[in-house]
Amino acid sequence: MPYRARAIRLAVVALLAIVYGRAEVAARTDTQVWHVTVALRIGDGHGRPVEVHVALPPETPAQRVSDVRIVDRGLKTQTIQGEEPEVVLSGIVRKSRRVAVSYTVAISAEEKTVPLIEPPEDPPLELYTEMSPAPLFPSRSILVREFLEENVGPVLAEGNRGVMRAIYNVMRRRFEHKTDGKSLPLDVLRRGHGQRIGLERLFTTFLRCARIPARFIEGAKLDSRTKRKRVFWTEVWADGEWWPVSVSRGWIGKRSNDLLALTYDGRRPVQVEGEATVTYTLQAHRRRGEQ
Amino acid sequence: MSKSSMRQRAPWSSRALVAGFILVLAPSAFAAPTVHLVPADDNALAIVTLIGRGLKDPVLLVDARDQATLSAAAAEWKGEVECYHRPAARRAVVDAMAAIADESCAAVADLAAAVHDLWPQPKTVVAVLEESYDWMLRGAAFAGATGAAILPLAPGVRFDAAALGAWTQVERVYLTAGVEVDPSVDPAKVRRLDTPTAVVDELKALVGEKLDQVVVVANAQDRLGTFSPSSLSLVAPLVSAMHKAPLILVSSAAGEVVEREVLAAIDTHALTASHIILVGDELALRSHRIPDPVLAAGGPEARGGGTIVRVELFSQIQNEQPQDFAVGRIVAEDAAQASALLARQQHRRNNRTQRPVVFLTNADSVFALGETISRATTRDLGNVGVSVRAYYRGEITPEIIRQTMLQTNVLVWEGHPRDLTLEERGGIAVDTAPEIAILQGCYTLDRSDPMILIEKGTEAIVATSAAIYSAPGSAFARALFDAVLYDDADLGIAVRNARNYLLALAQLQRLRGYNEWHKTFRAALAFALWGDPTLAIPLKTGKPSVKPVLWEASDDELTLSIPRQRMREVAVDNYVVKPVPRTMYGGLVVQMSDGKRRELKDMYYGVRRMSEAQKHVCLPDQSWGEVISLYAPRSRTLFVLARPEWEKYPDRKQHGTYRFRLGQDASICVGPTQPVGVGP
Repeated sequence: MPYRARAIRLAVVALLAIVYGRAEVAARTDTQVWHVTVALRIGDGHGRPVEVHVALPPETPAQRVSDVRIVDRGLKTQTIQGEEPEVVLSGIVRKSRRVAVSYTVAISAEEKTVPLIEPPEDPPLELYTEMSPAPLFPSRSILVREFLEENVGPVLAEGNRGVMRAIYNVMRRRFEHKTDGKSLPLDVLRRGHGQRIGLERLFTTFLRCARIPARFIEGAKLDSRTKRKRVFWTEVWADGEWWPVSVSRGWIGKRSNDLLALTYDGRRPVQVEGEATVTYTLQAHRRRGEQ
Repeated sequence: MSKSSMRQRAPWSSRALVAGFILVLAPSAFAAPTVHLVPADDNALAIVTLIGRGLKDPVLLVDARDQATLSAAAAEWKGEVECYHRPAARRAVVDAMAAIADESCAAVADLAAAVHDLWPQPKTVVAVLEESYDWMLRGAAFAGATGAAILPLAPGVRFDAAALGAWTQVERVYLTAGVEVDPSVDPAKVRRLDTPTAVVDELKALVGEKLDQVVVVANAQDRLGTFSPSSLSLVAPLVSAMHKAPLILVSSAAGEVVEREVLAAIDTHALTASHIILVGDELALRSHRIPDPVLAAGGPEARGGGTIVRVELFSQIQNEQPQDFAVGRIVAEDAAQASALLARQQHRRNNRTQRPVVFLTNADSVFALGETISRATTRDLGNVGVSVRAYYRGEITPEIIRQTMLQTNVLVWEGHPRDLTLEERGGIAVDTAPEIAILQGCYTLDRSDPMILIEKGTEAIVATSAAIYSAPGSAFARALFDAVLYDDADLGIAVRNARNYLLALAQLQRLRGYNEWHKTFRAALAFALWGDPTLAIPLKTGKPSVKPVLWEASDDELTLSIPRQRMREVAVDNYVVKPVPRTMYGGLVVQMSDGKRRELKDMYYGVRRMSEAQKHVCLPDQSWGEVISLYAPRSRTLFVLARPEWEKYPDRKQHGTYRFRLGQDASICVGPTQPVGVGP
């Protein structure tokens, strides 16, 4: 084989290797597969019936769940699908016991260009809840409305940057994150600082007051070293889809592939009905070589 | 033949007579009023309809966003629903109105013709320029209070004889600022109202003594804003019409400006106002923002993080002066919801049947002292025959709260605040709400609840803008009911008297060297009334089973009679009280002989109209610890709080008649009974 021909072939192979290699790198950073385990310790239920609800991640375009497994140690288990999927563990607990719920989830990173978001003229009926007040989102409080009118109103009057961004910018400027701060929206509003959970709840509250559908997300930052890896952000509805925004961490439309959404609007990832106490940790590791 | 069979065989003539009565009475006595709908964003049509029909029939201003709420409101009267709009009305609003009315809406091409339909033969006409919102409000309020027709003129249109059209009996035409008159109009009939002062002067001249003791206040700038400004000023003329009261438009939302301008108007026109109705939310008519007195005195930060207290306008309590006026605020999220609120008040269909007052107290089981006072209050209510249903601690469940919303006209919540109206995950849990809600807890005005309660039918809410402690909170509620039960007070006066009670209590605590008097003072600052202060709490009372404390006044003394008989003991945890009806409490306690239980100290609070020469009160004798006298000069009302020192004189009887000498100042208190009150 002439030297030139071999050189060309090698060059083509090298080029293909580079192209495919880059593509693989890009895909790896885009979607990450995680193996997640919720390890629960259910305390003494005094021989009475106990029901433990463990939230499973909802299926969204950004996260796909598969391979749900439950190590139940004698409890009755039920997996419920739907908008708020969950595993329900029920039975009588006389002694403390450990239970594990594990699943695989593929999370796609999102880096969206979020449009200018204004209150929708005619929002769909199914968004009623995401526009309504709730105990954790006091969107019909006079304090909330007053804050918007006095602080966000002038920003909007300067030029239209979209109501959502105006609220976001004012919150970034006016509210401080404090790890020992408060978590309830009105407490944060009165003090001007709060925990991340409080800031996101207040952001959701402001958006709902401005008649923009918004939902509060509790999730897990899967590469975190904390026990529960709790993380919070907000999703804002516009143009028929939900856009991720975090006022407490300062991003709009950019969600990394280690952020797992677990529940909406204050629902707890683990809920107990009955007298038993339940503690849990969330463990996660990347599935290498999988996309 | 048995009696019952005789009844069954009642003569045909009797039955026919009854049927005849029903037929005769039916159209007038039982006819449901027609509900009228107009777009909330058409100021002129809205104002004309509110004034032309609002006193006789419910008028709802329609905002498309409130369609569901207004549909429910319109259905309350179970009558016909009609809707009107002008050709330029927005499609969404017209569709919403048609959906509520379940029929297509009538188009009003000619507003003047509609005005002629509303007032077929008026004797008085008020002409206003449609482009001048302020003057439309003033003119409409004037027209509503005097029974005149209001005629908005399109831009550039002069008032001419043709405007009178078929109105042949018009004797007087009032032209407001900016309206030009055509020579074709008989000058003898014309009178100009070019200034706000002229309007009030003329109103006073026309209505005279019938002019209610009410002043209505609004801010016409409340339509400006980005986040759905409430625009409540639009309904202010109807409030004026309901009360035959002058409407005062203020030039700014700032509390100081509002107070200055309104008081100047009251003084300029020598109005005998006892009640002030603020028509506007916190953005339109801002309350005073006072630094939290507990924090300012070095105390702990309030739970919830509040550093200021929103103190209602015209209360003076922040200056340690008693509240003089009865003040209430008409609040809603927009003019549409405010119109439903006023329609309910004016055309109440739910027959104020006597339903039990419901107390939901101490749901979190942490306020034993407040619960003790609250239980004593329910005893007082029961003592005069008021039906009460009270739930405490664990008895208070979401289901009980939901049932309560349906089953009472008066709801009293005492304890940590909760969202009574909300689903846990979002959405509203109730379809109806009690007429009156007293929300005695921290920051209860700040939550979503007040707005939702109003949307669902509540007409008045008494609540707080700060963190309050349970003892002064429950003491406030007790003083409020005391005013209603024994002084026949309306809601505005009851709230005023109860706030002044807390002010007097704070001053008494300070006199006794209690460091925590600021907590009581903060509660006095924090309570406010959302709703019409002239509303009565719907309670039917009877003769007391146990005689209450009685205050009587003469020229030179107040006499307090404390009966011997007391009601059954109330005991909650370690707190004990055995009250004579009308005895007041407020967190002052004395340790009992067993060293464990604590008895609440008796106090006595009286409110009487007195002259300037009777504004100071002396102690009756040495067995009394303190007496506080507060005097409100405009209403000439004396508020007296006296505390006996029974604990120092255990052998002395705790009943009898005590005389408190009255005078202009401290000099009248001579001898051993030195005045120790704090007053003006």
